[in-house]
Amino acid sequence: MVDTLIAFRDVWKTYQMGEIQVNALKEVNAEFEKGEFTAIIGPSGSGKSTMMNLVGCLDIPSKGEIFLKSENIARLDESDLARLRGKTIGFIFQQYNLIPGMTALENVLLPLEIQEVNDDIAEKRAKELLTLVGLSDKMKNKPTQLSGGQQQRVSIARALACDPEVILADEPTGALDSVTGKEVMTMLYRLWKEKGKTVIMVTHNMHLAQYAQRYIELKDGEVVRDEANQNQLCPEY
Amino acid sequence: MKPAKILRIAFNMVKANKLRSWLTIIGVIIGIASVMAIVTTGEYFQEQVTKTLEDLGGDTIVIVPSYPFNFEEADHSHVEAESDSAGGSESVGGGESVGGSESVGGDISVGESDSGTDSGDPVIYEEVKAPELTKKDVFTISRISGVQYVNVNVNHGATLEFGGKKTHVYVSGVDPRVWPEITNKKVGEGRMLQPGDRTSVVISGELANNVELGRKIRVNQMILLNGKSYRVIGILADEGGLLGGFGFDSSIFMPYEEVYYLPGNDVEAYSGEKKRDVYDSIEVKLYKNADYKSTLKEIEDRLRLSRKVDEKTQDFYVYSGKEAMESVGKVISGLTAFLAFIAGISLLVGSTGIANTMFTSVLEKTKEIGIMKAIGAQNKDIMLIFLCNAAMISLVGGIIGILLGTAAVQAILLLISIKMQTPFEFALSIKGTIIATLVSIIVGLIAGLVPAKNASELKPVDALRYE
Repeated sequence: MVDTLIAFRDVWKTYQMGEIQVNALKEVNAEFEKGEFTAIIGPSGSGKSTMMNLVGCLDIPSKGEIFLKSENIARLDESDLARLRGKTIGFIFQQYNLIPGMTALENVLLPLEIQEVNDDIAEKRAKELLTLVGLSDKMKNKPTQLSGGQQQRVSIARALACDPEVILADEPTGALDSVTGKEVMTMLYRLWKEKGKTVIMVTHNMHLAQYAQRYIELKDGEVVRDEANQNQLCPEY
Repeated sequence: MKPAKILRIAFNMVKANKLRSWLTIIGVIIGIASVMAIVTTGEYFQEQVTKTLEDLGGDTIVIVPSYPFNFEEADHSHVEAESDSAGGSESVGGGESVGGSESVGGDISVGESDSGTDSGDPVIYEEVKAPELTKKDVFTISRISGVQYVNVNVNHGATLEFGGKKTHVYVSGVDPRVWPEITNKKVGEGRMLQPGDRTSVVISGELANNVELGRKIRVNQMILLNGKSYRVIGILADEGGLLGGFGFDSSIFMPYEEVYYLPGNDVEAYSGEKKRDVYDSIEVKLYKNADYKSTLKEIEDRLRLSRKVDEKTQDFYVYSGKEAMESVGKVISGLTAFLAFIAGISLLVGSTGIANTMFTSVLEKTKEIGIMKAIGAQNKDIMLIFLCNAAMISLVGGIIGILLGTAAVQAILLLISIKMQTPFEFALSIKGTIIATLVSIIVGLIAGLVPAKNASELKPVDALRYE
């Protein structure tokens, strides 16, 4: 039996731009199963980022319902949303979004501290994760002392800190060169394949999307394609 | 999020912008230091003035004879009445002479009509009898419940001769049974006056060391007052206070009955022999639990009754040191409050600085707030981080401000002590310190509240997009 983790039901997201109303998403229906690797694709302005914000509980729909582990996020307040985000979702951003004043280790520790995990356990876990992404020697470095690829790896370690069910990656290789980008994609693939994480990746790069099991293509705020990827790529590692 | 983690993040935020944080802290320091300095100096002055007034009498009530306020009017009506009754010799102050003392003088006619005027009627003046305080008044006061001690004072100027050298002194005759109980003065050497003392005197420490006399007067030595010999039985300890060094008070104390026997002195203008059983003033000390105000009023009422005077013709004056102390205290606290208000303005400017810094910080950290919210931070976590940031700035400012303020107060007090030639005393107002600490924290929290609230209410999706 399929286990639905996230479900969109007739979701609308409307922004007010001055006097004009812009419908970023129009009556979107979609389901994300547990352990699935999905790529949300589409050109600029198609509504990808809006959909990602809604999946990540960073925003709530204007109309319709979104269920995350059977909880309707449209009915949750900001604190509940934050709690749900912290425990269920790990974010990987295009611009890494690390806290510049903190070291790599502190950045990975932050979500654990927010969840009030015991200090010793938190530190052990953060160090393990940084070792996992190959940065055991850069723990004390601040983001400015790291390369783009290294920063994105710290960001992946941070996303994994609270052992979330869903990894949400927004253009994860967008700011990286092709070699480093491939390394990051390999990590994401392995997280899905080996750790059984649900990975949702937003990208406009069709080549990267081929690593996913399934495509959801958006155009002008509507889902125009939602199908399985018959030719899923498998990175070499 | 655990409080320790919130504090660490807030501390890192303060540390990350050292220059800006310090500039903000300086604003708070100036505000707190000025409030602290003014409150402490104000309290010091209040304490000193109270101490000085206490030394001068404290809560002792003093009754002195005085002419009525409407003296001329009373005199005029009296003269008219006098002319009708063809020259009786009643005194102005009442129908009878008090305490058995005889009326002085009687009627005398002064000055015939001026040469330039045609009026044939000679103008008749009556010598007004000076109001006097007598045993009767002491008796009246002693009977009032609430009165513990009644002391009488008979003062006299005299020439002191010691070892062939002379100086002028002010002699205070006191009741040896009462005075040692009510005076604030303390004996340094020898003993206080006792009942039964006759030609014994207690002198001030200042007089004992008077340079005009060439050598120190010691206990049991004899001194001459207007040529009469007295034994020094006690020397008073030196006093502190703002008036300590002024030589404001009497320097010789003796049993009041002895003052009547003190020979006249041709140097002092008022040195004629004192009239027996007439006192220059009466000092009253109340029981500690007595109702001060009502007893004060009762003293005045009873004296009016016994002296047969009313409000208009009242020929005595009741001086209350406590009331004077209270009014001086009120003036000083008013002044302190006013100055503290002015200093408070600089504190307000300091707090605006905190608010400004916090708003800038929130703007600067918008993206970080978004990131923290994305990874699970709740509104209250963000709010607490920014509030702690503001509180840290104001607390550091407060602590340094209190230290600087205390140092400034000591400098002010040192200057005062040099100027007034009084010993320097370290002063730290507990009230001022508590107020300054609380104010610094409250100011920080208020100034940080709005920016922190703004930060916590940022939508994560908007904050993340902020560049």
